[in-house]
Amino acid sequence: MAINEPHPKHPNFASILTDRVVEQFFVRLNVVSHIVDELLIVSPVLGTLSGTKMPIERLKQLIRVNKIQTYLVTRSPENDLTIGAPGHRPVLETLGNINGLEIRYNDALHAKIYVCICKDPQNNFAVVGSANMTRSSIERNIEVGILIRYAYQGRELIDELGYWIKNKLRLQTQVAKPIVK
Amino acid sequence: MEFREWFCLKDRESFIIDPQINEADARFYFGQEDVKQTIIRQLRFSFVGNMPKMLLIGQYGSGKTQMLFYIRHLLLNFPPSSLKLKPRIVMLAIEMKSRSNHQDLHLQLMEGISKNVVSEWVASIAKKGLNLEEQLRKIFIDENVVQALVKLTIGGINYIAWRWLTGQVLSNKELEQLGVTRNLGQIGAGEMVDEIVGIGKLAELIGEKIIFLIDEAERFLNINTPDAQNALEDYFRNLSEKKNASVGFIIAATASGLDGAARFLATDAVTTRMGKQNIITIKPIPTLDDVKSFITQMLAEIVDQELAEKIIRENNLGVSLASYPFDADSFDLLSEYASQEPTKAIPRNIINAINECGICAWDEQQKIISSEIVQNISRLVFE
Repeated sequence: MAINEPHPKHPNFASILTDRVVEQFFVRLNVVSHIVDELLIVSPVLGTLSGTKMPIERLKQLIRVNKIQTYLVTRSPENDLTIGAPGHRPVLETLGNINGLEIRYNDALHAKIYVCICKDPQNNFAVVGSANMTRSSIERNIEVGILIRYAYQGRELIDELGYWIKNKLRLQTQVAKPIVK
Repeated sequence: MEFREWFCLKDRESFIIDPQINEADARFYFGQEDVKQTIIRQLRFSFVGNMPKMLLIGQYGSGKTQMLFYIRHLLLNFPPSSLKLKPRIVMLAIEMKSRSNHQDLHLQLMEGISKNVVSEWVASIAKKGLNLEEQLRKIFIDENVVQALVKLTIGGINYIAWRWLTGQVLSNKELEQLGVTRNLGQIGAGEMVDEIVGIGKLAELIGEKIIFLIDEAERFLNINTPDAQNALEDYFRNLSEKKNASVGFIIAATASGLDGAARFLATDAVTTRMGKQNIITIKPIPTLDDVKSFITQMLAEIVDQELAEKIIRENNLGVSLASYPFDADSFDLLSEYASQEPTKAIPRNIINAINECGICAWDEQQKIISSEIVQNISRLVFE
């Protein structure tokens, strides 16, 4: 069954997000955070997300309290693209010392993917799209993302995205050394 | 040098074993030799005058999905001599919501077989020059099913016929077009089972045996309406009957025991028909030695032994081929971590830990995974 052919008796497994894309991912994450096993964030540019529903300090707290194994793949703070992004380095400083959070750099990174893997897989979900993890992507830019739920073909998509990030993308990156303020 | 070359991996990019990513991984089932042998034995017995009707139970990550893939691999490549026909394996991860019922199950089982396959089976009977309706009436008691199957091969109406056969509700106009008197399942779950058992008999005429491998059956727990639960119990009780030997099924459900599975799968009415010996619990890997055996078997299969031996020799790595890419100490340490908490000694955790250790060593450009790396990773995975 193709992605544009929803199952006759069930809601579709994918939907398009056009408004505050990254925030919508984090709002869902917040709801299920107590049952999350792994969080995979692929975003070339990072921001502190202040003024949104998931400022970086709140995300840090969620990861710590719920012991969520987190993989963050982004560009290095010295990259041309990230030097101009005021929040990028502060986010790396904030998240850099959390136990169980791995940060990796790849300066060729352009993909934006957010995957939430739960203890019970049927709660898994992912967002793939154009949006960086920044406030401007949430509030100003025109972005689009596909929200994938773990049902029907969505299962394979989320499993393969997770596999790609954890076993392919990570091997094309460098582990970041913690940035000290 | 790529990760796979760094650790002499054979036909794979990482240490992960997952037949959904790498189809050839279906041939593996490491450790847990007793579970493997029990299932092989029950499979062999089940084809003597019947079909497998099994329930596999185990906690998340215990290897149920891998076992289903392994069973498919066995049946397709090394079928037991008691299986006389070609297996038609239908593998599906079931979807169930709070308001789902037996119709949703039937729909998914039928969609798993697929419209094209059933149409081809019907068409091949027609091609034999036999009177199709007469032949179908020998298999199906319900004339409505006969009419729907006949229409399945006729353009223009075949989609309506398929929707009827899969238990979807048709309008009065569509029912009239199809020449049937009512929707399938209106009387109860039993008539849907009768239809699927009949489809199984149709498959037998073509020389095939339908076996459903149903994964993620814990999703049946989502169903919260008593009527739906009762109808599903009817469905499984009927399907488990010995007389319905044209269709087999093996169901895998995440649960700590039979009590944790959906009520309608665990009732005496269902389990006694399936046979108590066919309710199999996959437990975590029990002892330190079993964990060691799991890791050793896994590494022997996924590491290119010749290449690894050469690398060990040329680089003077001072480790044995059996534990490579671990040294003796880090191998023991990993095995101890993996077996210290019984519920965590599951294949998924062990495989993930090995892979993460590998990635960590690769980051540090170490050819051998050290005890320090094992300790850091194991704390995250096993504690």
